[in-house]
Amino acid sequence: MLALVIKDFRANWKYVVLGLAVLLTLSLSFIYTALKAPFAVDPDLLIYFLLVIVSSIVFSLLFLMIEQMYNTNMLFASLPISRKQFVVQRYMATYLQFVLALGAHFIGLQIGIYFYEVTDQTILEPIYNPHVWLLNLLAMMFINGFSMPFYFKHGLRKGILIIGLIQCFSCISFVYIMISFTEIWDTFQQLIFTIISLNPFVTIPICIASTLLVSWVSTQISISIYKSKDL
Amino acid sequence: MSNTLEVSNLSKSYKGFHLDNVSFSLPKGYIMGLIGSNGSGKTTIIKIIMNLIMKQSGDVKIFGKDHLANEVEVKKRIGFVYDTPTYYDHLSLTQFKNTIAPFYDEWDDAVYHNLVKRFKLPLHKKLKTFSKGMAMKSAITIALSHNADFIVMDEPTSNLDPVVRRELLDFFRELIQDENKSILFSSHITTDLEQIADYITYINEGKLVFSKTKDEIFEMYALVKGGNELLDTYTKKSFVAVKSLAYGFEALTKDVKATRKLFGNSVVYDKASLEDIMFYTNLETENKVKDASTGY
Repeated sequence: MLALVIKDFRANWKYVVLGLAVLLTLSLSFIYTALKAPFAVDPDLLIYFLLVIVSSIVFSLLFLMIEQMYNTNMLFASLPISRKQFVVQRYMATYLQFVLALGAHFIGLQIGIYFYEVTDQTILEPIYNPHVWLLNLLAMMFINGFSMPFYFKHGLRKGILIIGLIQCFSCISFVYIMISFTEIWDTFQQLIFTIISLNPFVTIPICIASTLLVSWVSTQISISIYKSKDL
Repeated sequence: MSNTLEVSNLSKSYKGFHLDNVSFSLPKGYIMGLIGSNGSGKTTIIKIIMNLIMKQSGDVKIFGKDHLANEVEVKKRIGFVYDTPTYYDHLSLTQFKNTIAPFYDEWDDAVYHNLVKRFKLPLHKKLKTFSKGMAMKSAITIALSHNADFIVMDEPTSNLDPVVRRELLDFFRELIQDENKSILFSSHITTDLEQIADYITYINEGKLVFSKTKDEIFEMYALVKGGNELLDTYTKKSFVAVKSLAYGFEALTKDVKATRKLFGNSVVYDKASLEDIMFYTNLETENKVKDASTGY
């Protein structure tokens, strides 16, 4: 299993280094740009962390693209690996890629903070808050859990298209419902604030548990899809 | 004699193709050639054996074990070569080997280096710069460096020049000197199989035509040549298919004794090659389709 998980890194180490360098530069340039506009645009770093999530997911997609490009699913299916192991390793490798991506972002921020001598606590507070990074990781794992079964069912291109359409449709429906029914939006906001105000030692385990549950269900669905799939 | 591979009643349907209850077995220590025209079902059978595609019914046993229930255990002892090698072609052979080797407990670097030396493969050149022959030799090197007992190859010689093909065939022949190893080898280049195979399994349009030893096949089939005046509806029926030409007919029989009884020495008997057998069997299928569509 370990050989399977690290095969992406072993075979594609140049892409890994290049991808991580891009992520690091992204965070570095964010600090540089943000300093110029004293974080007026993104005072709570919400846009930044959204960027972190999106770019880290794109980084992990890179490996799926390489797999698709070289048709290596066929190669690995001929090795002594069960299909279940193949699916599980895909999830594990993706989580590892997320952690590496977050690491690259964090290092990029540190370099930026060091060179531009950032001392503003309102900026540094979320950057040095481990809960923020953990929630980013959980959000990525959640999105991954939602997307992976589509990848195993339809392949990369069609899978991304379907997930994209579902997400677009969900966003538009969400915005429409919130605009049309303000009382629902108020309740929703209230719920978010209540959750945030709760003790993080309660909310974080709940978030971790629910993400792990989603990942487990997603893995089981992907295994059942991939087990009966013609490659 | 134990069987390395046992395929029983294998069926699989795609749109426009049906693999129909195919059964055959390969004894340990032998080479089996899987022949058939393009699209006949050879690759489908190999992919089912390797669990790359799902069977709809039937059983596959490798080393006496179900290939799905014991997938990992069985695949550890299989060396598999695709018709077009699939790999990360931005890597060198050494880098590719380093990616694959950890999957096998029995990986043997000495065997790997022997094969690299034998095939004169460059270790540090990118795989994408390899010629077709070198790419196939690399795939074979990787597939055989874990001391596999069963080697499965899908058209390994189909895109290669005669020199490389000959070199590989000699290599397979040497390989089988180890009586524990067996080879299943699909090809539509029948001359390759005539040279090295012990058993031939012929698939035509998803149906098993035969699975026999090469000697049995060459005893059973013969090419018959004679004058057109000898042909009538009754005599035609004794052949697999007949090709009538201006100067006479040529036909394939699968019962030489019966044909000798019917024609005696008024016709000439020649040894049928695998290519002849494939050609006339295809012709028979085409004729049946034609007859069915015209209502005969």
